[in-house]
Amino acid sequence: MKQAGLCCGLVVFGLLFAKAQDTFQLAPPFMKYPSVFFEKKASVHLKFAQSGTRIHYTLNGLEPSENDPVYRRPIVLKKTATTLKAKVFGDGFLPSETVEATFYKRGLPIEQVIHDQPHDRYRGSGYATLTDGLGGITNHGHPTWLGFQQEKVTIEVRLKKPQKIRQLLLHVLKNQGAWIFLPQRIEVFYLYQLPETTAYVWMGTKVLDASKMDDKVACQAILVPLDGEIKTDRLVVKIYPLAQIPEGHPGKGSLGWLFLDEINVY
Amino acid sequence: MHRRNFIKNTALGMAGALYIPEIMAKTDTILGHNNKRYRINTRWSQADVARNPVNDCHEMVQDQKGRILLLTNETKNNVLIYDKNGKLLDAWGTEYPGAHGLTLFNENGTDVLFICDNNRHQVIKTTLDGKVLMTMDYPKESEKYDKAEDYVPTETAIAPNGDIYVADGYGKDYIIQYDAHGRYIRHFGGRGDEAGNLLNAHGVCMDLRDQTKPSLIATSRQENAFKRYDLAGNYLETIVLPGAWVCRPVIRGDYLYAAVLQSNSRQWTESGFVTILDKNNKVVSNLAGSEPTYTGDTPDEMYQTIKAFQYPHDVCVDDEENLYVAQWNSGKTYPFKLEPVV
Repeated sequence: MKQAGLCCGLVVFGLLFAKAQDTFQLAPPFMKYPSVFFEKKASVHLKFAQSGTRIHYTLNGLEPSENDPVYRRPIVLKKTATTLKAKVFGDGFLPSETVEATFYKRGLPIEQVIHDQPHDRYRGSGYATLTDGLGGITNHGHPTWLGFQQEKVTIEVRLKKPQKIRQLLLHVLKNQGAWIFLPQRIEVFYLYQLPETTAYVWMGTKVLDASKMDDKVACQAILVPLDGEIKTDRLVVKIYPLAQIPEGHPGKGSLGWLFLDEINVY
Repeated sequence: MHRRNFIKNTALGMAGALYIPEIMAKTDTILGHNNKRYRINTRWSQADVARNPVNDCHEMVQDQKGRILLLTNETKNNVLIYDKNGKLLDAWGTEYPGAHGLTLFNENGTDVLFICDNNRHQVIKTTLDGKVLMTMDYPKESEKYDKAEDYVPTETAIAPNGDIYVADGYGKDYIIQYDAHGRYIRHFGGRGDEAGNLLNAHGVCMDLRDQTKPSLIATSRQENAFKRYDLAGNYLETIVLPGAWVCRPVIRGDYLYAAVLQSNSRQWTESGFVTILDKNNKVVSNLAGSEPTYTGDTPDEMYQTIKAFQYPHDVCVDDEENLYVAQWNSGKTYPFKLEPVV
């Protein structure tokens, strides 16, 4: 009797041990959308073809739990800057990591952007890359991205007509493993035309902690608040990529790459 | 009852009582779909890591004796030879720093190996115990290569007549055909915009399932596809596998098996799985991947669903239909074994 109890206990322990290593984590759900920018609404598909699992999601910025709604049909978003977070749960598996994307309404109509020449390997889809409304794909080889490796990137934005502008949005990529960092500083000016000369007048600056180490690959919208009382149809944006990749990264000391896929003004 | 024993038994009993519900709730992890489902064993290898370490585990084959051979770019032992239960029987090879492709060919009753070495830019034919029989340098005769470094062979396939097809998967993506003595015959594939071109020609294999029409299947990994050619290199068809970075095709019975290095939707994040196609090239099962579905004749985009693998690089199917999965860049992990669930 005593022996049987001992054996039983050992068998149970043995089974536990044998199983412990083979409890796998689920992969994150497959989030599909044409762009994170939308005119009136965005429709986001989540996929996870694995029986016995459920995708839970949130739109309030919080980490999804099993108490949050289960994904059943495409999620329609109408409000700008909405973050969709999704996570898969299933019996016998560890829950997945969370995937997330933030969706933005497109801004004022832009007639043209004139920008520095991007790096040869990352030229996007041509002159309209930053204004085609397509962005938010984290694969940096995707033709929505312009890649720059220089100390300063200058972009001139020409609107269809003079307007009051309150905010500038730059949509960038962070993938430090691929040497792609946030820029460290952004300055925005408007062009002031005088009869004999053109003046740049400062409208706003944003400074970012670009050298903070982070291994997450993600898109990020950088919002630069502007003096909204001035009417203009021409902005000049000066972007300063990270000048020195920090210690602890294989690229330490060199210039960080800047990847940009969309520019919007509001 | 002695008090000491009583405590011991109680403790074990309690642990058992606590954990039993969890065990009963938990089922074994079964991977795959339809008639191709497997139970995974991540601790198949009994090799001692101190004596017989591995680096990238690139490819595996089974020999006539039923032994499982693994090729790794760890130059302490480039080839590890196991029995089917994971017991290490033998190890050899210290001169293959770029060991990548391993193909076994039954040459008039004797098994021989073809090793592709990325770093040496060579294909080396050996006996099963490592004696070098032939070394093939870069194919100057093709007039496509100026120097050895342009040629980075990843895989070979041997035709029944002994012709050797080499996939230059990390070089210029040509398939180069030689006769059994290593004399250049022709090349095909290569990069470009035509249907018969290849992008990352990572693998190549003979397809003898249709005895009347033997053919060759090459991998176009970055294109997420396989491409079929006749034995003279004429392009026949493309088998598209959206989302799947397929490594070499491995044919056994009516089925084609392939390790999928990663999901296209989650690149370079350990998002691999294993795919299995039937003889009509239809995906029937994805091990640790999405359930195969089709829109018309095209598979829907595939992706990893269970993180059972990191970067699977090859599948070996043994004579009892067990699978062995070797992985690249996956923490120097030994291969996993997967047993069919009937």
